[in-house]
Amino acid sequence: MEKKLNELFESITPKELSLAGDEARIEQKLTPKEQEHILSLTMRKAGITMTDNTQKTKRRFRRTTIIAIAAAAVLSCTAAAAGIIAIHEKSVDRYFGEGAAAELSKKGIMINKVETNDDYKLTVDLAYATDDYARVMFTFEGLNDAAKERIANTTNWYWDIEPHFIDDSRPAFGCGDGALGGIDDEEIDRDKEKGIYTFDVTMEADLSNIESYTLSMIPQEWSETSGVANPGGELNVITVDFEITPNITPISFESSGHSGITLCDFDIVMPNAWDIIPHYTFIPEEVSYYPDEGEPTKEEHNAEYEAHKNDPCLTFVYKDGSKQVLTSDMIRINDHVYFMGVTVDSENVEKIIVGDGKIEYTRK
Amino acid sequence: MSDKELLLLLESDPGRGLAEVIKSYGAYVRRIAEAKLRGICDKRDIEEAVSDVFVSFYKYGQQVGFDSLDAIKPMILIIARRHCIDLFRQKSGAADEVELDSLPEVADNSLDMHHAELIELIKALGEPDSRLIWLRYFYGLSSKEMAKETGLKPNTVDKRIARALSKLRAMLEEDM
Repeated sequence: MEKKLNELFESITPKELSLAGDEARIEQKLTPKEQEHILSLTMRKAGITMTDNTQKTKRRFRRTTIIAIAAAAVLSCTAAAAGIIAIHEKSVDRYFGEGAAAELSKKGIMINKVETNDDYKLTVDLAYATDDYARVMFTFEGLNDAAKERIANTTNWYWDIEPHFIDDSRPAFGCGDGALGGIDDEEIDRDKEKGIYTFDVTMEADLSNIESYTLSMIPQEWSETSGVANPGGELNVITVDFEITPNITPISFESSGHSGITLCDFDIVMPNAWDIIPHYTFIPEEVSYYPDEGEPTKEEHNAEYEAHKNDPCLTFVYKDGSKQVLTSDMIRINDHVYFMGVTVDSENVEKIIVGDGKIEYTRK
Repeated sequence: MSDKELLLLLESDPGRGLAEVIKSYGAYVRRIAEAKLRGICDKRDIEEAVSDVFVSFYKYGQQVGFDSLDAIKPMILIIARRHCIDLFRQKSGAADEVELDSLPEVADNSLDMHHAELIELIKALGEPDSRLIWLRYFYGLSSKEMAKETGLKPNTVDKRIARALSKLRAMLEEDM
């Protein structure tokens, strides 16, 4: 069957392609910034002069970016203000448990970057990186009722984390692909009442070639139908420059018959995690859930969760013999296993036991 | 904006027309370029490839007249595949498994009945299976990329593809 499909798609003509319906669609869109870049390259090569409309958009974008960068420079003088640190620590504690911010600060991992404009505040709560990936947690919040309402009522926002390369001739692998292209994992929480969004983003990267990142947030609605950020609206860019170099050294573990994994205090890189970790999730009433034929219903899912929520998903055995058990509520799984409301003392972990113990990883 | 509206805009205001075409189909072209050129091209090469596809499309439209075209998407996808296969060959120094000369031209309006039938059968699988077939076999996406595109888990993607292939085989046998 695969041969037939390959033959079809290798020799498909435009006429035949037009028979395909919506099923041949690609849903991920280019970001406005990527569109602008491709357009600029295309027009230059095609020898087309930009219209007034296009030029205006470009100038406006540049101007606001410059203002944002200038503001960030001023902010760096005042970033140590006690109020800012308090907000920042509260956010970090929310991710990793009470007191985590103080602990991370001792290890030199805290990032303290805030930017505000008239309506919004953007805070880089925490950023850590290994040589292979970077994780950034940031909060976007409204500073007045109108901005809070807008945050509460908008489902999609355009944001971008742009790496600055040390050496332009050696671009980083998988990173800088635009807003979502280089993103490995993204978790977004929204507090509608307070008008706050929190983002937890992991990017694949070759950090040996990245000097710093700029996080920008364009608080304009993303139109699902046109794929354009607030068509016709004023761009209002808010940007935070922050520096991140590899500040975490993950520890390698191995297990016979399985790919190697790496552990740091906050997550494990384990691409086969879905397959091997017994993990149960609760699906709240308000969440729509449409299982496929033969798959468990929401009720069955939740009953399974209730029965197994206290089962160990991962057990960390420390050098001194003590154990730390993480259950389903304490982890989030993608290509990484993220720890929720808890950190692990990775330097002292001797062994990692998966589920009931059939799979064990030992320190390399 | 529909393809018809885009074609009219390209005729009257090429700059704005191209901007709208890139908004509508930029992600499609980038997907094809990333899948075909991964491992041998960096981000900048891929951006260049994407822009080259739009330049080729624009020049072709100028040559034949945008008002003579029926649709944009099929043409852009065909141009993207041809261009990326050619670039792969140049960059890797190796021949691709697909011969460039065997690929249909942009102006190829032929319709093979077996192809048409298979496209209809894929459609009959229903979503998400029909979409997974296109993402895997036309765009060449990996399971992980398909998972990001569809919101399914990578292992679910693999299972569904295997199931969809069996269904397609059975449907084809029924038809014969």
